[in-house]
Order: sequence, then structure tokens, then C-alpha cells
Amino acid sequence: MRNCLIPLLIIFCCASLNAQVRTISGYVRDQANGESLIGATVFEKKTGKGTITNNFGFYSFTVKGDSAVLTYSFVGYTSKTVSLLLKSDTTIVVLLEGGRLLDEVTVRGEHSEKIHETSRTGTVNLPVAQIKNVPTFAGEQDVLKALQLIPGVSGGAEGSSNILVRGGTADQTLILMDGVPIYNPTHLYGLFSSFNPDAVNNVELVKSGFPARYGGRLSGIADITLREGNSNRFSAQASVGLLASRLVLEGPIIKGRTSFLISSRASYLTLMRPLLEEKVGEASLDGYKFHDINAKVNHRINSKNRVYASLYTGADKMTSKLTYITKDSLAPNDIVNSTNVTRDAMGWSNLLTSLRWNHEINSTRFFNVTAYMSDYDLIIENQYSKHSIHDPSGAEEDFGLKYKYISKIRDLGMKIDFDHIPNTKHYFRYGAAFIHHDFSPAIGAKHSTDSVFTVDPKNVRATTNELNAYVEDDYNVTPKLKVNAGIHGVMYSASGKVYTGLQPRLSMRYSLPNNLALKASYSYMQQFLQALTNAGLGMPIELWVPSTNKIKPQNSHQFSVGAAQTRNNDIEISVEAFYKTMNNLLEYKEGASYLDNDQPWYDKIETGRGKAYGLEVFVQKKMGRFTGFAGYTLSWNRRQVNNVNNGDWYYARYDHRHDFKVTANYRLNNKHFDVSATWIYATGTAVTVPVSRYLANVFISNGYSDGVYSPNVSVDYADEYKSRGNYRMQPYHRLDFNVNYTFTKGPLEHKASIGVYNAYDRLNPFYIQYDYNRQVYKSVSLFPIMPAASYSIKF
Amino acid sequence: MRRLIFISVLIVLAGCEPGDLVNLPSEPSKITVLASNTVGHPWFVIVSPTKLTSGHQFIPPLPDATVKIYEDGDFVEQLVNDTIYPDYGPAFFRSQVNSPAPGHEYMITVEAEGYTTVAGKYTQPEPVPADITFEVREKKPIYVTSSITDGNTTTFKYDTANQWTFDITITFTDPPGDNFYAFALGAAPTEDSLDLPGTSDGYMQVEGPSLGDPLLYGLVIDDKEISGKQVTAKFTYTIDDHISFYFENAPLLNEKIPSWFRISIKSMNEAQYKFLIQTRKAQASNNDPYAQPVTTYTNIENGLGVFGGYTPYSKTFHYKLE
Repeated sequence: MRNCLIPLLIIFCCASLNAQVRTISGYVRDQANGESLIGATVFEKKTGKGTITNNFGFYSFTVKGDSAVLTYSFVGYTSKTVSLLLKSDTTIVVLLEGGRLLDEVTVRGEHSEKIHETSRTGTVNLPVAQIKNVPTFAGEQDVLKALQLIPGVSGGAEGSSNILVRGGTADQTLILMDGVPIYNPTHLYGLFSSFNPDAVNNVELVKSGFPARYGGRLSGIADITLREGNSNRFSAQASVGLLASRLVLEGPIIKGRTSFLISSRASYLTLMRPLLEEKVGEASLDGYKFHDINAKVNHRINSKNRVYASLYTGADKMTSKLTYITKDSLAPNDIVNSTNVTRDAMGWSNLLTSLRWNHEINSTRFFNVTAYMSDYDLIIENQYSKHSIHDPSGAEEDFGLKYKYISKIRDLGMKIDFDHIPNTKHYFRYGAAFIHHDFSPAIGAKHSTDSVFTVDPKNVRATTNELNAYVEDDYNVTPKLKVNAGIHGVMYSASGKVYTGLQPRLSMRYSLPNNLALKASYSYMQQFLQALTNAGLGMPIELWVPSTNKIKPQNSHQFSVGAAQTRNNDIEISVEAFYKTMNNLLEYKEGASYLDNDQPWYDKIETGRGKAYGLEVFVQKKMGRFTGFAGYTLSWNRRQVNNVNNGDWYYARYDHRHDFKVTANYRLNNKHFDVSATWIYATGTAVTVPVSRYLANVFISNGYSDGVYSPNVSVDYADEYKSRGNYRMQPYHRLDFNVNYTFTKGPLEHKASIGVYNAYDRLNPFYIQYDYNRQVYKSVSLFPIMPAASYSIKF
Repeated sequence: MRRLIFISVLIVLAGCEPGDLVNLPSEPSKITVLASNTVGHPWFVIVSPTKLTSGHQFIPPLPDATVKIYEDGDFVEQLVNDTIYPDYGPAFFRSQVNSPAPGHEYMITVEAEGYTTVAGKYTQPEPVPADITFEVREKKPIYVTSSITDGNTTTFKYDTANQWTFDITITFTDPPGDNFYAFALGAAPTEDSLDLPGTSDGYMQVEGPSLGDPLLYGLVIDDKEISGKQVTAKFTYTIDDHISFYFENAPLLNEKIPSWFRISIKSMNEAQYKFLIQTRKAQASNNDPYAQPVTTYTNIENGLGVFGGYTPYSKTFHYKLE
């Protein structure tokens, strides 16, 4: 009877026979741990109308009459149907039984919001269980790496955790952790993201048809919601991987009212120190370490009020040291013997804190207030010290020099978001947000024993303010036509300059027979901060800089049209074409160097425009023993900047004409084993390479030979760069697979995983390098075939 | 387990492995022309072929090329090969009599067997008169140390000298239209030797805010920021009176310390300016993996390089360093 509906009959006496409007509201939660189920569907059978839960599991549904039969569904959970006789507005908290994601029999045929029903375009939800099944590098499950498998999304360079959406750059994707922006959420030079998968509740990526509630970025929104912690019982989960270990502790503080969740991850890389020292010779790499900690407490004050406090901190740090001896002299009879020590350190860290308050005003109105801080620091530090002994005097002296390269951004924000669901036709959302940005981009600070601490005045701190307001309505115009329309207004001030903007958003769906729908959307987006970054994996240096009175905010217009269909109530298929234009994009000037601190950042950049267009096909199967998704993207991505490439259009680095990805998981009959595989193919990256070498300069200087004037001639050669992106690296393709073995022993649930990354050892090009010995160019690959393994225990 | 972790991380760190050889897009060799000419100096053109990017092959001269100069559409002369070091140096072509004059349009054609003929055009700019000053700021004694290391033994050699610093100002009014300038200092022991090739590259430093691209040390500027205005550009020039070992075997040793200084403001055509900027950017970022590639600029049709000119306005000063 697992596939049967579980009826609950709640009878209210004195039921009215009049056809009055009644509102049923409440929350949908996981029965086992009390977690909010985000995006769960509430569906009324008689009218065929429905709604979904918001980010806090809240729903509100209005019916006419004195009875209703509501079905509550969520992917991977057993649905519940509730029959109601209604006397007045009613509140119901529904608990769904989970853990059945793979059980085809149980979930088949039940209703949950399908891709052909939603009015939004370009939005993908990945179930966390599916994310955990994706084969990964070194066995470290990764939310952002899973998002990179969605069509229209790329990570850029191999190994990177960036989310590049539809021709956009990494900084054009807003990554939200519980609604709070997080900058550069990566570890180990981008190999892992900062999101501990054991602490994640819901993952949604928006590529187009942006609802008005989102703003601040041009290309994408990755909205990641963390779990709240088991409110029923204490539980723990520990995982051991090849590079890091994870631990999650959660449980009730006051049963049914207050719960907590702490998750932590730390690397083992400092253990490598002896081997690394040997590897790098005279210079010693002291070590590399990273960690992250998530802590979250939530407290239900009463049935209408709930508060949350969250903390996230994550950091990476690499240090190295080099010692060498020199001998010098500046005057006769004064030989200086010196011991020189250089220490280099690089690190970046995030600190996020937030306080949230949910309040259910009445059965149709709900609001959430969030106050937060998001702080990102990048520090590169070079320290030089010299201890000198003068010969023959024996006098000693010390000299020190410290150089810091600092890039910081700190956001202080407050926002309020209202949900108002007056009836089944409308779902209003409106709200406002204020963000104070504090930038410290690329400060070069020098300190020596001879001088005081100095800060380069060219790179002063900048503060900016952003005020946002929005209103949107998810409107069921007719049973076939659904529209999500809204407007996002923004006022931004920086350097005495105020920018304002009204950003219209519209997406619509028109239903056709056979679970087929046509969709279209338009979004205008503005962005007031951007990261100047290098494209490679080598250095995760992100220089977050604001729009100023000279640097105008970026903006984009995106149109998309498509069709979506759900087949067999299980397989979702969508086809979507998009066309996006982008303006005021930042690009480094030709020849400008990223680490050159002689010039302030704003003197090293140009502004230009971009254009991206293409077609995406996405197939997703979320239920059953066989699950997975596949996507294909055909796209073009171009840029034009006045003083770059002679002002001509050129292909952006990550212009991948063809991009195909498939990931699948199959659970074997015995229910202990499941196997996963991912295959990726992408057209080669567009890079700029020289086409010839030429004589660029001839120096003639005075000289004499045997008393006769005889000029010296020396020459400079240069490489001819004809145009940007003039060469395509070899296509990228890779196969990963993973085998999981799950079993229960006593109270413990065990999961062991082994896998292979890059199974057929494809030497995918990472960058092109000139080999001076062999006088040839060659492509350098990052990861050969590599093992992956992890082991986790849960109780 | 610890061993497994070690091995895995080593694999990660050693993961950067060479991949396949790459055949970069390449083009047939073409002619490069370097022809930056100055009013008052005979035509001087350097010709060479381009080479493939793979390999650090020596770029040979192209001495059999035919280089012709035209003025306002009329043929002027065919330059003669005057290569200084024919075995390994670039091919020089000179005129003995003709030089560019302000206000005229010039064209160059270069032909060589096996190569597509190339051509370029420019108009020689007018000079920009300026008020130029050159004054000593300070003189201070210095040690000049050189060292030789033999195994673990380092031997030091000392000389004493004086270091001189001069202040230079150049005041001029930017004429209408788009203009491009270079500021230069030549230093030589005799006034005549100021005209020798290679004498025009004294190291002036900009004093105060630069008017131009920092990549060119403010010595080459366009007039975007100063259009139509009267401007005073300030520089310093530092020189010591130490006799370099390069000159130890030269005749007239006592005259090797410069005492003649020529300060110039040179107007140049736009192509010359763009070529200077782009090649300088390319050179500055040559070995920097984090630098953006620089698109090559040329005004030579079917080839590479530049055909352009300088028109200097100069003032000569005599100052004996003693």
C-alpha cells in the first residue's frame, strides 16, 4: 500500500453550507527531522489548482466552498492527501515521509510541480540526493560542481567551482547561502566549493526569467538553502574523503521548538608538509589548509513566529618560506654578509552571519526579515627580512620589508520579503533590501624598518549603498495561461554618483495538451559590483570592485522562449532558446597585468559589451531506480571592447559552441549498491595565441671599436597577436564514475564510495605553454585519471 | 590511510602533466618594416621577415629587398642597403640625401622575392614650438661598486663619482586636432655627436603626474587630456660622471663624460604613436602569465611594423659636469 494515498480526515463541526472563501495555510516539513520542504506542492484535486511552499516551507491556499481535498507532494517523499471540511481559515502543518527518492513504486503518479506547470523559464532545481550521487573529484561531493552539469552553465577552467551562466562571467552569478550573498565560495584554488553537501537543504539555479525578487547580477542566481537541523532527535554524520573530512551534528535543543545544526569540514593537506618540502627543493611549502564551519540555530517562538541565527566561516591558507645567503659591499673595507628570508602567504576567507525572523501575519500573508553581514578577504603577503653582519667591523643590522596585496569586500544588509497569497489566482511577493558595500580593492601596503606603514593612495577604500525594492505576482490568468510579472527597482550610490533603475521582469507559460507548455520570458538586470579576475585555476584572486562615477553599472537584457513537457509524470524535458545582450562589461586593458600594483584597478580596465545566444535542451529524471539528467547547449558568446582586439568583436574565452553533459545514477536490485556516471563534452576554449614572431624594435647605441665610432645594435622580437580568441583548444571531455555501497549496522547507516575521475585518462587542455627546450607549444593538462573515495557514517 | 592521503595529494599536485603538442595557427612569412623617420635625418628603414612562433629561430635580415619612398604621390628614391652587420643584424636601408619634411604625405613600398609586397603611408607632422629649460638641481658624491664572484670568493671594485640631477621643463601649446608627442633627451660628449644614432635615449623621468601612459613612462603621450591647452611637462634627469668600462678603450677618454644635452619635443603621426604603445605594452607584459595579450598594431598593408615619423622641436644645452 505504499503507493496509496494516506488520507487524513479533519472534520470541523458546524460546517457552513455557503460557498465561502476559506484559506488553508501552514508548513510542509520532513517527518523525520522537521526540516522545511522548499518547493513542495499543495494541490487541490477538485479545482486542479495548486501552490508551492516558499523557502521556509510555508504555503497558503484559498478554496471556495466548505470542503477541500489537498494533496501535499515533494520529490522523494510519500505524498499525503488531506480531506477537509472547512468552517473557517485553517492552519495545517503537514509532515511528509521521506527517504524514498529512489523508490519508483512509492512516488510514481503523485503530483508535484512539474516543469510544464511553472511559469518560470530557465530555472532548475537539483534534489540534494541527486547532487550527492554525482561522481566528483577526489570523492568530495560538491553542490556547485553539480550545478555545472546543467545546460547553459559552465565552470570555466577545469577544476574551477565557478558558475558561468549563458555567456556570463563568474561574478555575474549571485550565489546565495540562506539568502545571503557569498563571494568566492571555494576551497583549494577553486577545486571545491564552500558548501558542505551534508548541510544543504535545497538548490535552485535561475538562468533566465528572473523573478523580480532577485537582483544584483546579470546572468544567474544560485540560491542554496541550508538545513535547519533535526528538531526531533540528535543525529550525527561523519565523512572521510581523500582530501578532507566532514562532520555534521544536529538535534533539538528544546524538542519541537528549537534545533541546531553544526557542520564542519577540514583538510588534511598540512600533513603533506614533509613531502612538499622535498618536492619544491630550497623553498619550503609550509602547508596548505582549509576549513569551513556552518552553525545554525532556529527557534519557533509560537505557531506564527520563528527566528534563525546562522554563522558560516571558511578559510584557505597557503604559506611558503625561502632562505638564502648573499654577500655584498657598498664601500671599501665593508663586506656585508646577509641571511635573507622570504615568506609568502596567500589566503582567502569568508565570514557570513545572519539573523532571520519569519512571521505569519495571517493565513495569506507571511514575511521574513533578514539582517546579515558577508565578508570576503583575500590577502597575499610577501615578507622579506635580512640580517646582515659587516666584515670586518662585526656590526649587525636588520632590515625588513612587508608587502601586502589585499582585496576585501564586506556587505552589511537588511531585507524584508513578503509573501501574499490572496487566492489561487495570485501569489504576490514584494519586499525591499538595503545593502552597504565596503570595498578595499588591491591595496598594496608596504612596511619596512626604514619607514612607516604606508597605503597606496591610489587604491583607497570605497563604500557604496544599494537600495532595492520589488513586487511580483505569479498570476494564473486562465487555467492555461500563467504569468510571473514584476518589477525590481534599485537606487545605487557611489563616489557621489547615484544610479537608479527599474528592471521589468516577465515570464509566462501557456499550457497545451499532453503536459506540454510553451514558455517565454524577458529580464532586464543591473549589476553594481564586479570581480576582476584571472581566468585560470592557478590563483583564485578576485578583485571585487564597485561601479563608480566613471565605471557605469553593467546591465543586460535577456529574452528566452521555449517549450517544456513532462512525460510519464516523471521525465521532464525542456527546450529553451535565449538571446542576451550585456553592456558596460569590464575587461582588462591589453597588456595590463593582474598583479601589477603600480596602477590602480580603474586605470587597468576598459568597458565593453557582450552578446550571448543559443539553444538548450534539458532532460531530467528525478524519481525511480534510474535517475539523472542530461543537457545539450548550442551557444555563441562574444565581446566587443573599444581598445581591445582593435575594437572588433571576438569570442569570449569560455565560448563553447557545443556542450553536452549527462549524469546518471542506477540503484541495483539489492538496494545496497548504486552506480553513477557522468560524461562531459565541450568545444575547446577560445584562447589567444600568436601567429608569428617579428622584429619589433631595434636599438642602436653609441660604441667604439679600435677608436672608431661603431654603434651597437640590439633587437627585440615580439609575437604577433592577430585577434582575441583566435585559437580553439582541443575539446574537453571526461568520464567519471562512482560506486556507492550503503548498509545499516545497528543504529549506524554506512556509505562507502569509490570512483574514478577522468576514467579514460583524457589529457584535457588546461592552458597552452611554450616548451623552450623542445621549441614547441604544448597543451598542459591538469588532472589525469584519478581515484576518488569517501566513507560516511550517519546515525 | 595516511599513506593513501599522501599519495592522492601528490597526484593532485603532480597533476599538471604535459598534454598534446599543439599546432598553433600560423601564417606565411611576411615582411616587417620598421621605419620611424625624423625630420632632418635621412630616410632609414629596417626590413625583416616574420617567422613561425615555434622555435626561437634567429630572424635573418632581408638585404635583397627593394625599398622605395614616395612623397605626395611622386617617387623620391630607392633606398640603398646599408646593413651594419650583414651576417646577423637586421637589414638597414638608407637614403644619403633625402629626409621627410613636415606636412607632406609619404608612402613606402617594400618588395622582396618570395614575399607579398607591402606598403604604408603617413603624413609627417608639423613641429610644435616649446619653451625648454634645463637646470641643475643637485650634485652628490657616490660609490660605484662592481663585483666578481669566483666560487665562494667575491671581489669588489670601487670607484668614486658624482651624481647630478637636472630639472627640465617643456612648455608648449597643443595645436588643434589630434596630436601625439614624445619627449626625449640626448646626451653626448660633443655637440656633433648628439646627431649620432643612439644618442637620443637619455633617461628622463616624469616629475609629478604623468600626462601619458605609464607604460611609456610619460615620455610618449596623446593630447586627449590636454587638447588645445598650454601645458608644462616637467622631468628630471640623473647622470653620474663615472666613466663606464665600456668607454675605457675609447679615444679621447676625457670627453666621454657628456657635456652636451639636447631636449626635444617630437610630434609624431598617430600610427607611430599606436605602434609605440602596443609594442611597449607587449614588451612590458612579455613574461607575465597574468597579463592580457596585446593585439599587434601595424599600418603596413600586407605586412607588419610601422611607417611613421617624428618632427622634433629641440633646444641644446652645454653643461660640463665638474
